[in-house]
Amino acid sequence: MNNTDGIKKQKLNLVFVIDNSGSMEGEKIGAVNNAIRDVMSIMPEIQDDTSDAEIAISALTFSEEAKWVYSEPKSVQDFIWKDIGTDGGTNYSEAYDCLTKFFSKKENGGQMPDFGGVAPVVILMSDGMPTSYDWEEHLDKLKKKGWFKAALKYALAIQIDTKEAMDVLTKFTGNSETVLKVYTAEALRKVIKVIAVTTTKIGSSGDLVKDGNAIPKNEMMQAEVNKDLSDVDDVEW
Amino acid sequence: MRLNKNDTFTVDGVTYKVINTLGEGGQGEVYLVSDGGNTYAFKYYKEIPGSDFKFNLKNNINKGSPASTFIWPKKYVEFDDESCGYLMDVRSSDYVSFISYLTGKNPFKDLKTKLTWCIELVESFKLLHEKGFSYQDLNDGSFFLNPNNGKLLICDNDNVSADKTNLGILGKMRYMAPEIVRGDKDRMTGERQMPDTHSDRFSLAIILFLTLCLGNPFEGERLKNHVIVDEKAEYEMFGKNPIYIYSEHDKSNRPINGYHTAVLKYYPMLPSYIKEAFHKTFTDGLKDRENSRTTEIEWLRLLSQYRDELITCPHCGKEYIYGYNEKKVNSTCPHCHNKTKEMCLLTIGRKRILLEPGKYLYTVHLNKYSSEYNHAIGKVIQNKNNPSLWGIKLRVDNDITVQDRNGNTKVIAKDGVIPIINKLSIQFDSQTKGEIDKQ
Repeated sequence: MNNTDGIKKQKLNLVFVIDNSGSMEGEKIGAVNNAIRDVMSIMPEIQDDTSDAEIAISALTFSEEAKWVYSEPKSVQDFIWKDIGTDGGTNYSEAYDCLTKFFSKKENGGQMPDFGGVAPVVILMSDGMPTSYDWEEHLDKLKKKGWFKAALKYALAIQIDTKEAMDVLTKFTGNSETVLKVYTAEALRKVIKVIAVTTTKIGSSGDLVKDGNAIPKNEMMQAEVNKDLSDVDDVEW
Repeated sequence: MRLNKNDTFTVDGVTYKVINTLGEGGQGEVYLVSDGGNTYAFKYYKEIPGSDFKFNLKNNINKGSPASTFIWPKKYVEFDDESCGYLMDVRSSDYVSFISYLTGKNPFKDLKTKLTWCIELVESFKLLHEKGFSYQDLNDGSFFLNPNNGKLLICDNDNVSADKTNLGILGKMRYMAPEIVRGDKDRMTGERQMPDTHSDRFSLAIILFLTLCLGNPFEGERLKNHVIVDEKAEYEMFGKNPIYIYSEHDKSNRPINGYHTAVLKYYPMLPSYIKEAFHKTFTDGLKDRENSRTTEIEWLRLLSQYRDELITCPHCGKEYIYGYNEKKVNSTCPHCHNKTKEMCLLTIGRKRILLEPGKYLYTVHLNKYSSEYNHAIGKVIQNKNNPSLWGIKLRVDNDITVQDRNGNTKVIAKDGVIPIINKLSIQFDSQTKGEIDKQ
């Protein structure tokens, strides 16, 4: 479409970061695959309901190595999901490096515009500990990126019960309230859907004000997600 | 969703059955229901609204709709657990969302039709304000349009309330008057400024600007100050310090080349009087909310004038303005740069209408006291056998006398066709005279 035919929209990046190491095999990765398909069936409607934002979707998988499903963010129409499989270790370091590059400006090989974008939404899902020893150094680099700082970050702890493994995810989101423990595949599917749909819906709509004060969008998204999750069993947050 | 297919509820002795789900918004769920004969949309609030909100909703239902363009709440519904909602008419499928227009998915058939929609929008707000209501939360999600005939529908009318009433104002910053975004104190009362006719007028001008230029009037160069556009950035751009992108006093926020391409293309094609009306509202009107915001009556006159002076380029088929209020009359099409050789102007008092097949005459053209800007009473038609012969097919109750340049007069019976001939003088009625001028 010729860009003079429509209003200029702000870019909203939705990024799925998916651990597809060997331990995710079976119903866990099956639930992730199903969830993303569910999300994509709803996305066109969310995109149609806003003139404020252009939704761009990316997915990064990481096991022995990290790999983008598409080399650049795709529109709601163009993001076609192909089921992903599992294999190998859990290389968080490489995943974080990929994200650091992603959250850089276009001129530095990243995907972020020079201006005019809204805060991204990042959803990380993992079931285990990093197998790369230096993941924290790589996370520190990622955390320096302004776009990552501004992002609404969620982490899904899939059948994880150790404090150590939970800490890895809390360090990623920077907020224990956005790390969710998920115990079953069905819950995982539902939670991914709730988070992706609710945050994108709010994130892609213009900012609101009430009684003279701007409403913080990230807080609003979090509150809505929590409300929507109250119906889902086998989740703790 | 809390209601399922075939669930029923009874209001005032009438039982409604849920047929299916129509959608879900921030505030509520919407269902298609039937009373056995007619179908309605039922909006069911997700959370139980406060008593003020319920009272206001019932009051709106009692007062009735200001115009047929409003999908107005018809019947209040409350369940035993105090959860509630209302019934309204179902939107016809001929209409598409304003959002889909803005994003380029559903353009209007032509500029004439677009202006007809704008006029319908302004007329609706005039009627709403005359009833003592203000819309309060105007935004891109509130409107629907028929791109083929310019008809309008306005939804989400449950937030409409009496001027200056506080229902806990929540709105989208990009569409709100800055004093409401900021929550300014009223100088007289010391209370926080509440949405009213004046704030609605500011929002109305934003919607008109969006419709005509496909861009927000306050989003320009200053966007570059905000790497990430979050609520703080929007508060700055649309509340704290808004600068009109075409302000003559402050040129720091012009549209960005290569980015705001639609605005840069469409704004220059606007007639100067439309540009002035926007300029007044978006510069002086930022502070002087009562006297410097273009009113509905002014918009009606200006938009109708704009529609009257459109010509269709015979070369590329696009419309542009003849320019009788510009520095020079425009015979060159701004789209394809070819000259339009023949133009046919009908002058009635101070109104000048460019005649071409498909153009309408409205009540307001023949009656200067009328405020019916969209009520068509005549249409320019072409002779079936000889398309180069044009005429005005009028639907009026009286006979019309015409006189050609040689002084020959002829009476055209009501519902007849007035031939479009150079220098033809037309006596529409005892008080209204027009003249055709081919150029």
